[in-house]
Order: sequence, then C-alpha cells, then structure tokens
Amino acid sequence: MIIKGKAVAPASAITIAAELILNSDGGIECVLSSVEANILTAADSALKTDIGNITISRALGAIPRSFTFVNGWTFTADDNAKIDIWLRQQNKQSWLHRLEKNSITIITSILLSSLSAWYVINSGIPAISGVIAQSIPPVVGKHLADYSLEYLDEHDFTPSKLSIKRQDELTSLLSSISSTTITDNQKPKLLFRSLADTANAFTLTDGTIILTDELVMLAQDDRELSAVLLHEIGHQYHNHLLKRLVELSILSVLANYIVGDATGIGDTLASASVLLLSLDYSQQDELEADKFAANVLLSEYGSVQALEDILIRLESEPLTSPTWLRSHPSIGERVNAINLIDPL
Amino acid sequence: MHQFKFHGKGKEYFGIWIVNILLSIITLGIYSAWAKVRTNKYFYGNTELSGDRFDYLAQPKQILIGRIIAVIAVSIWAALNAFSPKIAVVVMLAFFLIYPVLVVRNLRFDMKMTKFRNVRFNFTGSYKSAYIVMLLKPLAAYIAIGVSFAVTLIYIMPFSKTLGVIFLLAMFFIASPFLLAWVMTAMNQYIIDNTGYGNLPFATNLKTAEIFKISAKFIILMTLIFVAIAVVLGLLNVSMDSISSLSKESGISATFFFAYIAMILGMMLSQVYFTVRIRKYILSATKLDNQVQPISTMAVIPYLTLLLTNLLLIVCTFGLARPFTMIRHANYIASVTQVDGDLSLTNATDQITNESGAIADELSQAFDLNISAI
Repeated sequence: MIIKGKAVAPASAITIAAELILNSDGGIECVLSSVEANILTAADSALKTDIGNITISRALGAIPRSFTFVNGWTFTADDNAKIDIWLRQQNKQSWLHRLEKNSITIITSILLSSLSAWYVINSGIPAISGVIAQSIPPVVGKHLADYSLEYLDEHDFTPSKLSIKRQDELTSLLSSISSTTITDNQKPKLLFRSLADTANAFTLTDGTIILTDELVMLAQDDRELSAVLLHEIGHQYHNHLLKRLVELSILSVLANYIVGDATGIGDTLASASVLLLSLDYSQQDELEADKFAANVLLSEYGSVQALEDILIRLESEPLTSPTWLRSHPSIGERVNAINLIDPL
Repeated sequence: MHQFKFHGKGKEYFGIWIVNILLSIITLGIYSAWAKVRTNKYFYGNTELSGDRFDYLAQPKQILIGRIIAVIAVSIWAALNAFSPKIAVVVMLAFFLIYPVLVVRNLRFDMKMTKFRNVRFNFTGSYKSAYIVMLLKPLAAYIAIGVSFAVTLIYIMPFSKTLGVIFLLAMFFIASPFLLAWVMTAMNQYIIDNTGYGNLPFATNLKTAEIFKISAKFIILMTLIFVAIAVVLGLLNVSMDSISSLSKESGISATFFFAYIAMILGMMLSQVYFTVRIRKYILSATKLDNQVQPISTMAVIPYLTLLLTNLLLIVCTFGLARPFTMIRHANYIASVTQVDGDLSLTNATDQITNESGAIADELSQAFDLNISAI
C-alpha cells in the first residue's frame, strides 16, 4: 500500500513531499516526489529497507506515525489508518495504545485508581508512617520535646499554681498506672502548667505528659485523672506524635506532587488537602488512644465510666465547627467507641 | 504568518492519562517515568507549526534514574523539615548555591529533548553567567531593598514621618518593580540568547524600561484590588453592625469567606495580567535567525477565565478532570501563539551536543523550580 506524507533528511529542517510504499512482506520504500535530486543521490538507495531495520514511532493518540531509517531520514505519514492496517498484518500492534482507547480499561482504571488512592490515604500512609516512626531514634524525640516545651512555655503556658503536695500525689498516681501498663523502657514524666482557662492534657514526643491546672480542677476524682493519663499514655504507646510527623511529611510531598502546578492556586489546594487529611489522621489517633485507656481501665477497675465522665465534662462548650474540621472526634463519637469496649 | 495548532483531544488524552496512573500505581511508581515520556510525547506531538509536529525525545530510563534521585532528595528534605528545621535551613542554603547549575542542566536537557523536523533545540548558556543572573543579581536586588528599607525606618522616619512614608511608597511602587524588572530582564536575556534551533540562534533585545512598566502596573493593579477589597469589607462590617447583632458571628465568617475568595481572585487577576503582558513583550522582542518572529496574542480576561474554569473543574471532580484541563490549556496557548517569517528553515542543521542525564530535570520538577523563558 502507498501512504502519502513527507520526508526530512537527517539533521535538516527541509520537508520534502514523499510517498511510503509498504509491502505485505514487510518491505518498506520511501519515494521522494519533488526531487531536488542532488541532495538525495547518496541516500536514495538507502531509503529501501524492511520492517526489521526501521524505527516506527509508537502509536499515541492520533499523532502522525513517523518512520526513521537507519541513515537518519524520517518519513511522517499524513494519515495513520492505512499504517495501522499494515502493522496489524505484520503483527506489530501496540497493546498500550489499545488499552488507552478501550472504554472498559478506562473505567476499570478509574475505579482501581480511586480505590488505591483511598486505600493508600486511609491505611497505607498511617501504616508506613507507624513503621518509620518506630525506627526514629529516641534522641530525636527528646530533642523535639525540649523544643516544643520551650516554645509552649514562652508563648502559652504559665507556671502551675497547684500545691507541691498535689503535684506529688499525681506524679505517684502516674507511676502507679504506668508501671502496670507501659512495658517500654521509657518512663513517662509528669509536668504541671496553667493554660488560660483551658482544661487539657498534652503529650510530648519523649513521653512527657503535661496536665493543666484547669484539668486537675475539673476532674472530680483521681480515677478520672487516671483515665486522662491513660489516654495520654495511649498516644505514647502507639507512638502517635512521631507517626503524625511522618504522615505530614509524606502527605505534603504527595500533595505537592499531585496537585502542584505552575499557578499558586495549586499550592493552596495542596495545603488545604494536607490539612484536612491530617485532621482525619488525628481523629483516628484520638480514638486509638481512647481505646488504649478504656482497655486498661476495664482490666484495672472493671469499668470505663471514669473516661466517659471526664470526656463529657471536658465538653463544656458545644463545638460549632463541622466534624471534618476538627482534630478530635466529637465527644459523642468517642463515648460510643469507648462503650464498644465495655458494652455494659 | 504561521499559527500554532494543537490537535490533542480531551477524551483521547483521558485514556492515556488514566492508564498512566493505573500502571504507575501497579508498578509502585516505576512506570511514572514511561508515563512522563508518553505525556510529553502526546503534547509535543500534537503541537503543529507550519504543517509539522514537534517531538519529545527523552528516554524513559533516563527519566527513571533522575526521578529516583529526586525522590530520595525530596524524602530527605521532608524528613529534615519535620525533624530538624535547623539542618534543613543549612541544606536549603546549599541548595540555593547549586540552583543555577540545576537550572542550566535542566534547560540543556529540555531543549535537547525537543525536536522539530529533524533538528533539535539546544541551550549553551555558561554556568558563570547563570550564577550572575540567577544568584548575584537577585541577591543584590534583595540587599538593595533591605538596606533602603532599614535606612528609611532608622534614619528618615525619626527625622520626618511624611518623608519616611514618601520613601516607603517610592520603594514599593518604583524601586521594587524596577529591581524585579532588572533581574527578569537579565534572566530572560540570558536564557533566550543561549537557546538555539540547531545552528540557528534565538536572539532578543530586552529593555529593562519596558519590563519595569509592566511590573509597576502589576504592583499598582494588585494594590488597587486589595484597597478595593478592604473598602468593601469595611462597608460590609459597618452595615452588619448597624443592622443586626443576631447573626453577627455567621455574618463575620461569611465576610471572611468572601474576602478570602476575593483575595485569591485578585491575586490571580494581577498574576495573569503580569504573565500575559510579559509574554507578549518578550516574544515580540525575540527573533530566530534574525528573521523568524514569534507573536503572542494572549489576553488577560480569556486566560483568567480559562484558569478559573480549569480550577473549578479540577476541584469539582476531585482531580479527574485534570486531563481535560491540560488539553484546554494547551489548546489556548497554541491558539494565541503565532510565528511570522519564512519557516522553510533551509539553512538549519542539527548540532551534535554531548549527552546529559535527566537528574537536574527531575530535581527541578520535584522542587517546583519552574524556570523557563515565557
């Protein structure tokens, strides 16, 4: 069959109208039409070859196919239809091109890609981050904890007003709990601070737990404080803080790679999605820490009531932001999850 | 007059795009190198000028090696950022020092991988000039701004408030666009003058004054938009207070939402204005082989509309519309680009250049250093 197109000499930008003759035995010949023959004489004979000795561009969309001869001459076809028929006869078809045109593969690809994206985000990244976080040397955790404490002391915290006696009581409460639960070599340390009317507890990357005076006041008995401490020990047990740092790093790299483009809007989109996803991870971690605390409470005291009580008391003011914009799950959801552990 | 034409189709490219993604997932990212080549080949191969298509020549294996090194570098960078910000700062400084080298190698690679007919493009800029235009001049500009700011605050402000304010305004509306123009002119001049199509050189004659005019208008436009937003916000708040205090909280958050959207739109508008005008000017000042003249007919509102609708499409489809937006973008860019002059290019011959890898190419992509003229 004969295909119309144009030929270009090696290393040149001059196009010459040409015809390509494709034989059913695989033979290929390029015939140049308007012959300013003087530049062609040497090459002329070489423009005759066979399918084994020529580079044919891979099928891609509807881009015109090009044939590159060993001596560097190229022929580009005006129309691909005949070439595709000839290549099929020669058993040279691109399976990739067929996949890309097939609607079943396309739909399957959409489903599988969305599914794997969902799986990677939901389970893959937290799991990998957990493994990586385990291998981070304790020195790093210590360093980060010192840095955060220094920062918090400078900006938010004020010194605790609790009596030394009360502080000592709570410290021994912590060591009595942690000796029964933590098998790790790290012993949690307890610090006391005051934080402008906010009842809260914090865990640092080296296992230090900080209680605010307001939380100690809010709790009705030491059993509730044990529940809070156990929740924080749960974070430490699951290495949540380092895990979250690794998660954040992975997410930002991924988001920038996927969303990022030349416009600044891409970056805004990327950081927004990183924020939302990291909040989701944070909620998962909170539930995991609750579960840890509930399990210990159940085996030690036979009831998870203390944890539920302190959680409900912490919910002093109703939150107005929607669930997906919060770092902690709603109290209702948390209490329900705890109840699953102790259905009574 | 020759018009660029783009022949890609959204539906056709969607199949290529989604299969690229699936195969990249299945091969744990290894296929992404092949995917990149296929994507570039699709966009280059569908771009037509004077009856002929462009071609992208990179081999997937080169890309893969570059990509592996880039992934390692990005991971180290992300880890440093999370765990040791101090070391990260040191690494960032070191990165700035090698930045011009990366850009030069990236340009060399990209140009060499671009073919039109049987002639490849090339970039022959020296490292020395790259350090001057990409490191020394920007640094000098920053220092100049910093020093004049400090001098104004420390010495002029105490002497006379009015004079100080006048100085600050002058710095903002005159000095900073001038320095921006000075740096941009040098950088684009360097890139274009060192680019060639085979043996035929591109040459440009950029004037700092022209780019200064565009930069100054850009800054004035941005200021006007921000002032307008601030005024509207002020009016809204006042009326909100006087009408009702019942829905005040939701009113305030709605106002902030409005302000945020308006800010983004305003930023985009001024950015697009800048891009469109700079592109038009630089192309008009550039010639290939002293006779082929590129022309840009890009306009602010159509381009802004395109970017906004593309953004909406991507957000509403969770990214699935990305291939369509890429095709729309390429279509628009081709439709606003022409070339005037004789394109038979009979005297062009391909130049043999030494091989270079794709490492710099992948690194600059990974760290989002989009350096290119226009």
